[in-house]
Amino acid sequence: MQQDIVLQVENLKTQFKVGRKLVRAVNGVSFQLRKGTTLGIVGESGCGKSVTAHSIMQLLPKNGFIAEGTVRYTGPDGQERVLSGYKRSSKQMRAVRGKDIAMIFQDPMSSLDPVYSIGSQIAENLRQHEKISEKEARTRIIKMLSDLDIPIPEKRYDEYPYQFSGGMKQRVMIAMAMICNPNILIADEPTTALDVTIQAQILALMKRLQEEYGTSIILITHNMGIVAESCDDVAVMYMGHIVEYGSIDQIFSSPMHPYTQGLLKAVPVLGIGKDNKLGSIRGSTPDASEVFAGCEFEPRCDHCCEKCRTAPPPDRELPDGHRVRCWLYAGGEDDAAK
Amino acid sequence: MRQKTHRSSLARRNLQKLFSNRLAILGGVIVLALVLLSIFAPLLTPYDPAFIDPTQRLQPPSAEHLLGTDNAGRDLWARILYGGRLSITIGLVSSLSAAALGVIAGCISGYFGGKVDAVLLYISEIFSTFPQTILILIIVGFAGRSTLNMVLIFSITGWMGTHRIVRSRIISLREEAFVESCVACGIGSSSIMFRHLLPNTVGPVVVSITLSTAGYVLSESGLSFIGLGVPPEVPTWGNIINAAKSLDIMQNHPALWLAPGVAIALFVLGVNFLGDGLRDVFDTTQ
Repeated sequence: MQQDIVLQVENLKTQFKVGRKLVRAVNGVSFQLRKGTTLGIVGESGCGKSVTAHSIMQLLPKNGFIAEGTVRYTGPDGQERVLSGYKRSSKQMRAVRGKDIAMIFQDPMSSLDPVYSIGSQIAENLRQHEKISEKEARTRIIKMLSDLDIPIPEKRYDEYPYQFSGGMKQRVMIAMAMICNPNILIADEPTTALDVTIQAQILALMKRLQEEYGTSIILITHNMGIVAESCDDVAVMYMGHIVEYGSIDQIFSSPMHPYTQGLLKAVPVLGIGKDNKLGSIRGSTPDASEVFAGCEFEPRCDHCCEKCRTAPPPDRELPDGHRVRCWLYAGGEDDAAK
Repeated sequence: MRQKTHRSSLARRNLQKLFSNRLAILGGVIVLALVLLSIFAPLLTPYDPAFIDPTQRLQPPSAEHLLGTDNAGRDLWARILYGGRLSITIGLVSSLSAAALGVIAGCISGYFGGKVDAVLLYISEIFSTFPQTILILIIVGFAGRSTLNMVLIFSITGWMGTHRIVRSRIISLREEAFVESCVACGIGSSSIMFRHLLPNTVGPVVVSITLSTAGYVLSESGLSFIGLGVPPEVPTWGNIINAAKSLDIMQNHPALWLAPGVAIALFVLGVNFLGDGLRDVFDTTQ
């Protein structure tokens, strides 16, 4: 069982210095990524999901830093590496980026350098990590492009980003990320900038590649539909905490945290009927620099009690692996307020 | 090999774009013609531009002397051809070296930011406050009139524009998503700097080089005309006009100042047309 874990994040805390203020973007996040599975990280804007991903890759902006916690990566050779121990621009970290852990970004439109052909950009990544000739690289890249359903890949190889549409560019980005056959693919809202039909295609593609190469995926999104479609495990984040963590069944069929419940109520369903109102969560996300004595969700929560205001809720793990961070489930009183 | 085929499609597209701009083509043809005339000057005229023949002073245009001779009996056609060599070279070398200085300073400014950037900006502002003419007066006073001094002065007083262009381009490019995706692919920062950021600034820099070439040709002519530029015995377009500035020549021998004037005007106009065309071509966002 332990063998299967490719990435282990423990008590990760990432902070930003903004002027004199210290913004705590991620406050002790722990999760595991199992080989060949997809972990979805959901949450609204500013909840720290992207920062978590950037912390793993050490791609934080200059004023951001990992204050505490470890990120452990286990490669296919079985060797464990502590990524959080590497300096951000060190050789070891650069060797991991692109080769072991690859990343796809939200905006494919500007993620490619306009002055190089897409083939040469993918080749740059490939040849950065593998010593192969230009010719071999070309053959491999063309194969990858055709795997990604890009028509006439031999011709497209030499074309420039402006000649590609958004969906095609995202395919190119996926090709770039997958060309070194990474163990982990971090997709930071890969479909947000695309329209819905293309979204489905891209997600299906990622799924297919995952099955083909056995890649583990961390999928960051704010779209519950995407999570339901493509994830095995889900972590729901709020204000830099994972408030609920479990398998897709656990989260969708028996959500425990009031925030998760609220999110699921807010998902529009086709044919919902005129009279059924979509659920919403009252209030808005507090500023990330605010410091709470108790639970961060307390001001917006319908189930809050005195305890929620005074002390941070404990992280409780149920026997089936379902984890929730809420006073409602802090032992004793079972699912009382559900 | 491969690299060549990569570029060919972009190059073809850019050429097409350039060729569809008639004004740019006209400019290119004019510039090319003047450059070729200067390069092949020895083939196009049998005369030595510096050869003084007192018996042939102020001849009108004839089959022997295409544009006539000046008041020292030197063949005007030969002087304009040979003068173009120096005028164009001064313009081009000055703007290239100024651009090189500007690109280096701009990269440093944009990439490091902070204090380094602030210091470089102050320096460039200080340089911008010196009028070129005063600087040239000073340097000519110390080192005498020479072509090299002229190029040096043009370079050290002309790098600020490129500095600002490159600096602002790099500052905005640094935040582009493709830089982040390069980092995420494990590509090192020097490679990002020189392989990805710098080529993205080439467009505006090339445009500014062409336009400033025209500017320096004009400045050279102006300075030579008032006697502060290239030594008078060396033929440049400015010196030729300088030699023609007496009232008698202005009134009675218009070819002597008209011909170099037309050469300067044509060259500057051509370069400006070409520069405008290049500006459109290099706009990668279109």
